[in-house]
Amino acid sequence: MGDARDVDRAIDAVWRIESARLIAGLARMVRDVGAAEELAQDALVTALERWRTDGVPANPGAWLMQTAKRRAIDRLRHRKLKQRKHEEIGRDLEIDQQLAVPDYDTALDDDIGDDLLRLIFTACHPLLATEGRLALTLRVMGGLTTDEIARAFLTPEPTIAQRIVRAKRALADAKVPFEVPRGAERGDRLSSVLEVIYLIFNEGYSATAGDDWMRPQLCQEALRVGRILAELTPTDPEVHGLVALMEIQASRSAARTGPGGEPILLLEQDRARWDRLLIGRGLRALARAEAIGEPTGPYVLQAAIAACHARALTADATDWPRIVALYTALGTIAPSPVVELNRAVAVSMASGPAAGLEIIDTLVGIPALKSYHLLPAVRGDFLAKLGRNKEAKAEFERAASLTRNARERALLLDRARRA
Amino acid sequence: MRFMMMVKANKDTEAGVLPSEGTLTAMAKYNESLAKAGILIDGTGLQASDKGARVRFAAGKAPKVIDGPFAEAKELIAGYWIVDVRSKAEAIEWAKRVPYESGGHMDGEGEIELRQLFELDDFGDNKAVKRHKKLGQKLAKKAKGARMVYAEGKKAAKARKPAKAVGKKPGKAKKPAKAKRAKKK
Repeated sequence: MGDARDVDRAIDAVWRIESARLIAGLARMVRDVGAAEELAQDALVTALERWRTDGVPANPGAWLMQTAKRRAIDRLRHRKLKQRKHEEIGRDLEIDQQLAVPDYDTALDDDIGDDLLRLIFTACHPLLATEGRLALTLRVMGGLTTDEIARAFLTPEPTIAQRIVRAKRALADAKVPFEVPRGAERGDRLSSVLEVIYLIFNEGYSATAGDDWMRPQLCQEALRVGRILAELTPTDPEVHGLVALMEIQASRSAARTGPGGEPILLLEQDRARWDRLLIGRGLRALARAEAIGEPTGPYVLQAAIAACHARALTADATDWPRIVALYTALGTIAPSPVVELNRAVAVSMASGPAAGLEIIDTLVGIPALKSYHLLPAVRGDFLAKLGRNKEAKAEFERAASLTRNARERALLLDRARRA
Repeated sequence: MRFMMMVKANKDTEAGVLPSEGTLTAMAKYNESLAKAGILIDGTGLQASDKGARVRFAAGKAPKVIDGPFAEAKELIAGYWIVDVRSKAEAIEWAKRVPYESGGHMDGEGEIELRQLFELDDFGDNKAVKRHKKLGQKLAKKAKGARMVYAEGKKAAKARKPAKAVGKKPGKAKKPAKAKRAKKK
């Protein structure tokens, strides 16, 4: 029966579209993201049984919500019966109010947006371990199964399942309120949300050609959550900055690896393979961020750097002085030796290798970069360009001994030989 | 994967009749739902074909320009969305929600055609791709040295991560995951 498979595919698609809103709406009722997620899963199981025989209903989202809501009411009543002796009457009233969830379609227009925002903020709560935040976000925002998350992270399924269970329990134990925090706390919590989204993106971006297709899919998931967030909280420049950064990086996906999976450096990429549609989206998101005009944060700055490359039709047309200025600004608000290293390269492109070397020499000896192969690789390149071949050779050899990538090692040893 | 959802033209769109307020409201709401789902990549309405033209090619002849309008409204496209979804089924599910029932302009009738976009990775192993691959290899050979900082590959992405994760100490961020992966292999 080909039909059954069609129905299963349709159910899968409906789940993909509805699950986050469903969980978010339920979480507002039951005030517990873990319980909400389980209620939604239960509703999905019921749907699978029912829809296979009756077909997919006209408004599947509302159907799932109704089913889950009924289950939630049963649960709450059950709990109420058990607790009746200890509970005051006022609590009953409160539950009744919680159960008075407005009509699903009207709710979609206003409250669901707020609920989704609450859901993202809760799933990315800083009290959870980073790994738990990633898994829970993919589960509740992306509608991914445990198996899919496990494949994406190259991690055994039970490990992921446990991370999710632990995260849910931690949220419940700490009685984390289902809300978007206000005031100073909001900024910190938003940073955590953005960090989770970008970590998910990078996990997918670092996937290689042979990896399971679920891994690159993580870029899509991150972009999707980022775009949702940008719609829900349009006045936060860093949200648009992150979306811009991801769109522009994603625009280079097809160009950034060669046929054998080897990395192709940004400046050597075939820019005809860059996705203009995504670049356009990235530049627009960056413009939105800049239009808000608050002090520029690290994601906006990184997006602005990515945009400099995206705007250059050829590598030679890159606006290096502007990139130098942006890295300088980034180094001021988010100081890091890796940012400095990148700045050194930009400076060398703008003002020559001697100026770059000057910066890089201040980085030698920093513990964080001790085993970072790009430091000697870059230094070697500057030295070679300055004709200091003997020193260059030593640096390339050192870089080769530090990299774990065989292809890169061969490349570096080759340079050492020729230096 | 990306799909283009194409709205077929009809008598009204071809006559340049502007959509009713009800249709516009329903469409705006629908567009918003696509955007809020994080899947709307692009989309716009197209003007009637009398504002357009066709350029027809024939072997050995100069291209011939034919000005609109064109007959067969239902063969024409009146607008499109590009959505980034996980499956064809998901694109279909979204297409089913296009507000045709709103009456007026669309009058409950119409057709959405779904077409999947080629992504560069999709081109498989044909001659053109092989040529492209050779070119890629040549380019890769050229790619050396300092510019490695700007590498877009696995290593570089990882190396960059600490710097980009705000407030993280450099060099420590991904250790656990990396160790696990190594173990698995």
